[in-house]
Amino acid sequence: MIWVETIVNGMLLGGLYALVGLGLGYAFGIMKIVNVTQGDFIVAAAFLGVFLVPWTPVHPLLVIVPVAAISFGVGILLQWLLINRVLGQDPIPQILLTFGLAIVLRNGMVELYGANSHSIDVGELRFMGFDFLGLRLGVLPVVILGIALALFAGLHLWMRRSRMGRIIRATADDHQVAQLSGINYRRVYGIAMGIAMALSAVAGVLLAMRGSFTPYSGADRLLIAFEVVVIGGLGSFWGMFAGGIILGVTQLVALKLDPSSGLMWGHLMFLLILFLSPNGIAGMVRR
Amino acid sequence: MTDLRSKLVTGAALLSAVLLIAMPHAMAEGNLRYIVEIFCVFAFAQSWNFLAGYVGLMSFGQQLFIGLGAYFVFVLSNRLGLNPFWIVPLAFVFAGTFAALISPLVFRLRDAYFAISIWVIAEIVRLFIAQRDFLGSVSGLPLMATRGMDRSLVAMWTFYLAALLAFLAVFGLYYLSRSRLGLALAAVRDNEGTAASIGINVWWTRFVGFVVGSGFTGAAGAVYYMSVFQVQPGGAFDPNWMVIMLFIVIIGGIGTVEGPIIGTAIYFLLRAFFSGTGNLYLMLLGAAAIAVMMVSAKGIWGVFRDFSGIDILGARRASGFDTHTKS
Repeated sequence: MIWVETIVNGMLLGGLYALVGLGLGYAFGIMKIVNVTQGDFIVAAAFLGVFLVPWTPVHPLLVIVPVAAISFGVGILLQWLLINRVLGQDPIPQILLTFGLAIVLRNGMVELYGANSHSIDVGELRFMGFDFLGLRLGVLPVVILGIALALFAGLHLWMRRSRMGRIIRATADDHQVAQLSGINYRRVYGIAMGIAMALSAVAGVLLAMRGSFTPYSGADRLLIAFEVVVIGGLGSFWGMFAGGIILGVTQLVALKLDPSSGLMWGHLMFLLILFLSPNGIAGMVRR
Repeated sequence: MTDLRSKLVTGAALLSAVLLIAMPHAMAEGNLRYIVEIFCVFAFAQSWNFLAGYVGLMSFGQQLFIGLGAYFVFVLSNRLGLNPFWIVPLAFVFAGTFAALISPLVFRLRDAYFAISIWVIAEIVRLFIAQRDFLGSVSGLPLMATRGMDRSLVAMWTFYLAALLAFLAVFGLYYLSRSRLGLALAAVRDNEGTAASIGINVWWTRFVGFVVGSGFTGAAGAVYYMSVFQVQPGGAFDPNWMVIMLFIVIIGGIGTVEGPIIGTAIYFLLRAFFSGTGNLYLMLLGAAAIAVMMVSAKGIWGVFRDFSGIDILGARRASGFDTHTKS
């Protein structure tokens, strides 16, 4: 039974990991841009969450709304002011640009907050649990999985059904042809980056509610996001979700077996899947 | 014209060789140690520049090879009681072999995903070493063999190894970039399809570039950690190595031999100037890299070369036609 509980907890954590990867994968799927800043931005959003929680009415969990809104704006500005200017055939300038930004952001946070670990206080919610089919589960992890699922489904539907979603998909398919129908693809890219950053920010705040973070956590967050996206098959929505679950379960099961190196087994699982199927889960299913 | 330039470069190579050989006899040990650090960091940066700017493989995990080279020399020397100075060439082979073994896997990914996958492998190796007592776990390993040796002799040989690395990082890269392999690498970097169509084996060329570049990083990592006499997983596999390499190359000029020389000078000046201000110099380097990308991705030397037409160590040759018409 303890194993079932570990696996279920791994899946709950994995849903959040999937959300960590979603921002990175969404930006890549649409713009073929890998925003390396996203790992450190996740941490910055967590700091913003810590700052905003005292002013959040009703429940601290709702802090994700203002953080997501601010991050949406930051994402648009980032794309319009910086990344759009280095777009081109060569992907290297924008990767290096965002890498530079990540370093500035990380070291800026170290200067401001020191290297101590922080977390977002959600009051009693953090310690509440319930029994389900004989399993003891935390309320917060379940709520977080619910939020992650809702965001995945919401984004999926919005991309399928809405006018803006259609415009974004058209731009993703071929931004030059989209231009012929009067679409300014640079503006669309801004909105897509805003969404990506808002998703990452929500993930960052939720991670900070479940556990703790330091200004240096960005690197780990980026690696998780990246592994989720590659396991999922570069840009496939539900592949990413499966990728997150696989990582979460692997990590918790490995932690049980080998308490000192759970993280390492998550990385090894990533390599194993890359070895078995270069196109990730989505590639396996398609085959 | 071309003739004259290659003669000048040969002359410069000979002159620097003589200077480097004479240096330890004319300098205090403390200064020598500082120069060893500069040379090693330059060698790291240049090997990343080789991979990203000449082979077209951008990696965010080159600290992997720094750590591998260092640990290889430390473990082998401590276990077998060997003189570490003779093992450094083997560190090249070891790191290169490791690169060869992971390449079938990581070559499946492109661009940023390739870059980060090597970082993941670096994390795996770091976590693995940190859990193994026979590798010194978290607290690392000291270098035993040099304890019984004459201090000034150790300092001199460390310097010579670092000097050899720096020498190869300038002139070795220059001659390599003009060789058959170097031209094949450039062709693959610029356009895979065209390169394949003129009979270049794209995968194999890239593979050789990756192995050579990573092996060189490994040898430099070995020398760097030999010069400080101890190695720890947290330091040797620190992603900050990557940050330093990257910024030296970007600011100086990616894909040029001269760029990282300028970048290394800027890095050490900034570090000396802002010592004691914590992470401020890292922020400045980051900001400078962003600025370079916004203005021109070619970096300081790249811009200077295009502006002045002066190209000292580039792979381009005069064709007999006027190639200086601006496109």
